[in-house]
Amino acid sequence: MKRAATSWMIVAAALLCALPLARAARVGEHAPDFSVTDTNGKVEKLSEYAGKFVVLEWSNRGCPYTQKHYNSGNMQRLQQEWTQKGVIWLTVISSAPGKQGYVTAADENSWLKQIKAAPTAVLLDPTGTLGHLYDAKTTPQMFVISPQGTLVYDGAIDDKPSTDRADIGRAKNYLSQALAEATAGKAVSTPTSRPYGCSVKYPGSWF
Amino acid sequence: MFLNSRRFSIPLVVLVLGFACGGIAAAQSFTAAHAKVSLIAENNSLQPGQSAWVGVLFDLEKGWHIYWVNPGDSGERPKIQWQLPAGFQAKEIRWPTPVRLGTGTVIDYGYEGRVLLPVPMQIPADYKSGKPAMLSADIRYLICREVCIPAKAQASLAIPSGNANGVAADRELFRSTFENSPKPLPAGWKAQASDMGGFFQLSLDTGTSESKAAFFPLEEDQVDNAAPQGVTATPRGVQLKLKKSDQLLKPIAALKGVVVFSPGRAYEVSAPLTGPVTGKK
Repeated sequence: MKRAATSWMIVAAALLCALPLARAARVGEHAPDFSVTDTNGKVEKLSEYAGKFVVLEWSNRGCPYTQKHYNSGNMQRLQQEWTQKGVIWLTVISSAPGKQGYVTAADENSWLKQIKAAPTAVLLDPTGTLGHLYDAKTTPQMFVISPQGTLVYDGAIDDKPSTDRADIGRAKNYLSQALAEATAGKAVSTPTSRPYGCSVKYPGSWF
Repeated sequence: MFLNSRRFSIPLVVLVLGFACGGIAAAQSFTAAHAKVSLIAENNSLQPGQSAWVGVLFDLEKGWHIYWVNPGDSGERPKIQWQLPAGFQAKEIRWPTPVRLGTGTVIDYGYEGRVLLPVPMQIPADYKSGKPAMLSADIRYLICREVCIPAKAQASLAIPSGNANGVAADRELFRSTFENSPKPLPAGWKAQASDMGGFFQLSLDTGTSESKAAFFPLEEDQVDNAAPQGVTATPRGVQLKLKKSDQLLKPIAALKGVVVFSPGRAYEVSAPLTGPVTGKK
């Protein structure tokens, strides 16, 4: 009887310890590890990139806010600039099958070539597991993880929430700012902002 | 293209005729991207030096929605760019009470069906009563169902209009919209908020116990939109437990938004923060 009670306490303690892991990622805290297959069939693990800055970019090519940054070439420029500086850039697609933005690996790879996108890899997350782990709400939404594994930026790509391409030139790019500051060893001055765009098309979402 | 020009030529003819004949109903609406968008006025005449209600009327296709001033987790509010006679001045939209849209972790605030966005229009003192006035607007809005489409509409309205029935219907639309819009907090009511660390506690003193209430935050980064709102009836009102937004890193002076008790019973709330005022973390 006493032993049973003790085991229950251990189970309860284990559950309590596990709870913070189940909570979504938050700026200033440890970025949760994940293991997701990319469009080349490779399993991408965050922990394998320890020691490097990692960008997570939520994407949906049917979303006009995502299109604003790809049709203008803005996203590709950012991908090139930062991957050349040694940053790992992981684009994440959390659209569920049948929903806008859902893609197969082959389809996405030919699309990437066509639009000259330059991420390190594109992760396919049709179950939305990674999206929910980071509580990604919109496309685009950007995250920056430090080499120590801390989430240092979570939010919008810039401060102009619109579908208007002309806004890109006038916008303050939060992602570039966060990466420039963090890679220079400085604190990120805007560590979070309201992400803007289309809702992530998770399974079960009705819009 | 040909179809388009044909579609628009008819209202245009009506519009031109309306102006020429003076006093014939003259409103140009715009059907595009799953909505019919038109301009309407509460009254058929404008008075110098007074404010008049005009508004953008959206007739949304079933299943489609547009957004409130705070769109919530995704989306974007409609924007109006006016072209007005000299001296006319359009003020800010008086936003009707929104509804919660979505499920799960992404929650938005907006409108479905038929929605009127009323705008107070200041008429200049030197305006001559009865003189025809042409009001036009470019309306940019994001309209979503499962997918989102950025749309642009042009609408115009000539005042006065001779269509008595039409005007009565429009007046009724303004009346029902105002009825469904948040009202200022009645005298004697009190709103207060406390910072409890991870959440805000919003207390409303209405004089009577309220068992149902929903809070719509006016500012984008104060409250977590998707988190359930803990509602507790108190003897003289209600308390709401509102999870802080993850984006909120700085202290706030007041919690601003709309509290809805039931359809048609909505109030503007600006609750000063009391107690330990800290950002999240």
